[in-house]
Amino acid sequence: MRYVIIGGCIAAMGAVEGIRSIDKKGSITILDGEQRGVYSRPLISYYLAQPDRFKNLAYRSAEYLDHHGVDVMKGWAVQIDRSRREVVLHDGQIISYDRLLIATGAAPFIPDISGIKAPWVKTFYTIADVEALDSILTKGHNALIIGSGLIGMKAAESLRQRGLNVSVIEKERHILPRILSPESANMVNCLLNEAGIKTQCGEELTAVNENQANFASGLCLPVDILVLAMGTKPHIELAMDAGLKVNQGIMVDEYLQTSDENIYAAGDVIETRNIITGTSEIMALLPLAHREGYLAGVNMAGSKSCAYEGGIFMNSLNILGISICSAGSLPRAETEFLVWQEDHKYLQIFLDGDFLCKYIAVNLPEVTGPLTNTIADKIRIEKRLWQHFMTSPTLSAFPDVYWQKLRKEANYDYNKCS
Amino acid sequence: MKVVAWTEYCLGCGLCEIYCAAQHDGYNGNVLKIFKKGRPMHRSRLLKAEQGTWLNTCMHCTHAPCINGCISGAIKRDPNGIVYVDYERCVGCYSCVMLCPHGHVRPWSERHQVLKCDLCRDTGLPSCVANCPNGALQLVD
Repeated sequence: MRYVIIGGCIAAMGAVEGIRSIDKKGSITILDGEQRGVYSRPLISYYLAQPDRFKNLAYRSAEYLDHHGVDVMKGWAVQIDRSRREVVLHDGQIISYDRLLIATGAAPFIPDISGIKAPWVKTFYTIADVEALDSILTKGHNALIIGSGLIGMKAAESLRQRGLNVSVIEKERHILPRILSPESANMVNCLLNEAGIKTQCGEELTAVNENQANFASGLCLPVDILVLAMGTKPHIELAMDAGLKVNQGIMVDEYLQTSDENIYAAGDVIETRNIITGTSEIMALLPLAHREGYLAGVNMAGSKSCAYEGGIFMNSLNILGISICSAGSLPRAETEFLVWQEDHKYLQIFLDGDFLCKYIAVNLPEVTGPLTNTIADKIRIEKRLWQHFMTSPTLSAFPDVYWQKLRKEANYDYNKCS
Repeated sequence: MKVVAWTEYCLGCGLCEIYCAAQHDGYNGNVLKIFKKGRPMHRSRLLKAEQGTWLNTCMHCTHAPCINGCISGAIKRDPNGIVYVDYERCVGCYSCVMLCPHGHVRPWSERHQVLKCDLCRDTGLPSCVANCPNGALQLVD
């Protein structure tokens, strides 16, 4: 069997592990379009902050790839010929496959506004982006980050660490709009300002002029470097041209198979089922990309046997020592919630009846593992138990129902204890 | 392999934490006056709940969410199946902390990295198991 993977990021690594769990012999070729080797995208902010310390951005080592018999080939795919089961590369090379995985990921969204192509306007998504930023940044200069999502915040942190004056501009009403609630955003905002990152919300970029950014409200800000972090869009062009079924992302069935039985897709390029809301959406998250890649790999190598149930939104990020963890979604706008707060620590949990559907933890990472798992596994825990937990949210106070379930699953042999 | 904790035999004395700390960070298990020499960190935590006490250990899961969700590939599995942290690579994003169902992986705030059980993989029998005075901890396959 000949496996070809287009894209060399997290989903590709998951797929290698999935394929090799079944098929030890088949050839695996990764087409590395960026030509920078297999690396982990979230590490680029650490690379920009400390280029000497974080040179190695590998998610898995070269020895690991060798051990799994993976051939990493530099070159980007420009066409998929489904009838001949071939991938055409930019230089005309043709690679044939028995099973193909599309893991092309996403690309930064760039708005069509005047001046956006100026040399000091950059995106923050690849190693090349970091190198481009690194070549133009000067200590003490003004950096504007457009967009306060995960990428924007990490860009802000690294530029701040490099000694620039950093302001983050958000279009929505509060920062990290997809992760935080208005209440938690307020608190994080204060902490960020104390740490030296300025923020401004409700401002939409309309034009970029000579060392100046203009916003819809009439606001004008001086700028030396502008970083666009306005979200990403899936790289679906290749799949679309090949006539595969796509919506916002590539459409796959529960086995991660596309509308062509020899082609699978995984990672940021597909639509995933959000198990809290039941909707199909783009969920560009590293742990999901790995899981999707892994399951796609297993299904590509064997009979379609491993179904993917979907995932939940989850993010953990540290910005200048401020820890923010969040998982889950709100099934409707008005969802009941409980809040705990002490000094710089904050926890907000959202309940849908007896089910936890989302949490936001600021500077309180230690309880988040069980919270994430409670949401993902839809574990029923009564509201009064949550109320008790929220009086002092520690692991020791976590509802016992949860620990009992874990112990049962761990399947301890109690008779063995002497 | 993993250490399992028997709530019904746990006295909650916390010696597991002390021996765990003394076993790591170059203190070589020398428990005497260990905290006067520096601040060694214990990997596993003793939980004290209303229903009892137990050491919150790592299950070294077969499909470990911490390994797969680690953004830097810092959490690895050694040939014996032991899941450990490569401190050369950990950037302290706490994704593993957010993903561990057992709440076992925890932040190491001072170093902006994480702490987790490595089953004392360089030294033989895990220190917590070897030194639990009531046999409440057991190494199982």
